[in-house]
Amino acid sequence: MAPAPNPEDLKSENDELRRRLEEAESIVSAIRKHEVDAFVVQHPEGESDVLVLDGEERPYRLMIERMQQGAAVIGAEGSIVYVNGRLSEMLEAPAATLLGARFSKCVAAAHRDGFEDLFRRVPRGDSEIEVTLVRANGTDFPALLNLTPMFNTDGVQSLMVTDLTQQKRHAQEREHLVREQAARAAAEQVAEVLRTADRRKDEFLAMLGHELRNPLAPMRNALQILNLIGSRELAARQTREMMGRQLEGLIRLVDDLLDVGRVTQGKIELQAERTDLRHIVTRALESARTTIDERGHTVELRMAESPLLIEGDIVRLTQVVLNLLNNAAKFTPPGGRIQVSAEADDAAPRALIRIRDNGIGIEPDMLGRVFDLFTQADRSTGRVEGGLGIGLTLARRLVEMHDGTLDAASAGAGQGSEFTLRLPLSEHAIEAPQAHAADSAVSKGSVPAMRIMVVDDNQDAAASLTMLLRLFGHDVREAYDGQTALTLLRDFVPDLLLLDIGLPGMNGYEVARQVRAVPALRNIRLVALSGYGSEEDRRTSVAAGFDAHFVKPVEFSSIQSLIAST
Amino acid sequence: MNTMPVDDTQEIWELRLYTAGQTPKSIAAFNNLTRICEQYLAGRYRIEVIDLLQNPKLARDEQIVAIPTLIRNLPEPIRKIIGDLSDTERALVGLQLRRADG
Repeated sequence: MAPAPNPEDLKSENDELRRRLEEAESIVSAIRKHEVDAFVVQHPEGESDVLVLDGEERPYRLMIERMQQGAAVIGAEGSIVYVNGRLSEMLEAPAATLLGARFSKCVAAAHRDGFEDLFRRVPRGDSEIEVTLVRANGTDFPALLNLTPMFNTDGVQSLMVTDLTQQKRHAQEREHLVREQAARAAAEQVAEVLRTADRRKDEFLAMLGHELRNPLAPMRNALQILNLIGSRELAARQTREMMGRQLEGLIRLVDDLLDVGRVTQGKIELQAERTDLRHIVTRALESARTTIDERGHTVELRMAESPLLIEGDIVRLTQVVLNLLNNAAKFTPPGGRIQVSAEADDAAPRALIRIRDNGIGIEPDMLGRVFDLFTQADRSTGRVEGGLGIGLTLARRLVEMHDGTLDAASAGAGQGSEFTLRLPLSEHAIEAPQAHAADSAVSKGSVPAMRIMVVDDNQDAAASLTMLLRLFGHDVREAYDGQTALTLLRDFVPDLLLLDIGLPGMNGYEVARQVRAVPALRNIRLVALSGYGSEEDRRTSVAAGFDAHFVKPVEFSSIQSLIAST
Repeated sequence: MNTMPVDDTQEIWELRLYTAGQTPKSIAAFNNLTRICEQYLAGRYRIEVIDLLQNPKLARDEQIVAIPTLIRNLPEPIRKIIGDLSDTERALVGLQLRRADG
């Protein structure tokens, strides 16, 4: 017999049963109204599983989980109801923390209002907006959002998210590329303009050099004439000497101007031969002596006792040393001291020439620029002598053509300057060099009288040279063009024909060829006088039948030497 | 119709919604729940979504059978509402946000 149940227990049991019944009824009711679409099923082993009624949707769900776009369902209130794996990855937040959160919290503050406006309008069809999305760690990325109202749900919208990072980067790269190409094209255009300007400048300098040089030959000749027949009075002699110095300075300047243009364009060819650098220094010192003495400088010379044999162009290297000496003389106040040394550098097989002065010196910031074309230090206060600022440029380039170096050093303004020239010594220093200092001063009347014809369209040049030669007792005819010269040659057969190349109408080469074609004129010595002295110019002269090629302005002493050897 | 909320305390409501991934009814339930909460419990409710597709074991504690199911943990007593909450009246009664008429 079971004891009578306690009324309290009965009541609680009754309540529990009622609660369970209610739950069961509400489950049945929910099923009937299709308010549920999944069930938890219990396996015999105790494992539980979820059975989803809409099983046919699974493939699509899988695709949505795997696709490369972010996807979400946003509830009418703006909260995230569902996110796919990709969106969770993009936002670097686990789905669990995203679910229930407002999606607008993931939109950067600047774009939040725009997104919410769009969302609230509950668009009928697709609508899209580009925004910046913020990841859980605070970093952000550009994204395109597509909103679509979901079928049969009140205010619920599906959201597709496309990460635009790559796209933006590509667009940027493309833009960058386009801009870079445009910049390069613009730079190329500027470079072309500069190149053209540079070429024009070179052409202008070359032309200027020729134009300046042409009048120098007759002036030089005229001065020689005055030296021979002019007044012996002291004032006249001093004036002639002054004119001579100024003229030589002018010639040097024009030569530098022409040379720097040629060097720049690679048109200078070195006449390399083995020589003793000490002779070059001596020659340069002789040439600079006038300028140095004029300014009352003293020169201290220290020379190696044995030869400093190098392979080089004597004329060009003399030009370099002369430029350095003139520079020292120019930029040192009167009564200064110029120290010159030429020695072998024991550390390397090379020769060292040092030219040091106690002049105005070089400011440290100018040191690197003194070799630049047209640069002159301290134009405002230190303009002692002026100049074009081409001497050092030319000197350095010529030295570099000899595989040497030329450097400047100075402790600063007023501290003097030192230029150091280094040249490789010749490897076979066996034989003692020949002294090249040919005696250029040929005195009057030391050669027999000759028949000479001068042809030059520069009438002053032709006339002055003719006059000068006549002063030395020669029988001279002159002509200003090729045709006249050929006509003259029928009656006057000269021993020597000095022929300008750049003649109007028939040029010097053509005249030479015609002369060479006539047997009766075979013994004439043909000498070209040309404004150009490159290897090619010389070869062309030889091919046309010339025996020698002189570059204008020709020093009269050279012509005298030629006459002596004819 | 009595629209006076039954609950007039400032207590935080703790609600737990059991879903099966993103089945239409799960989504609908969540959507309906947030709408109701915003309307009646703005600022003082917390919804925890438990996806039983991800973790079916969690169904056992609360003896969940049909999905979606909403559990009101707080305020007590615990209430269980089955379905997608599309019948707002029934949902409100179930949550005891409104007295059942009759």
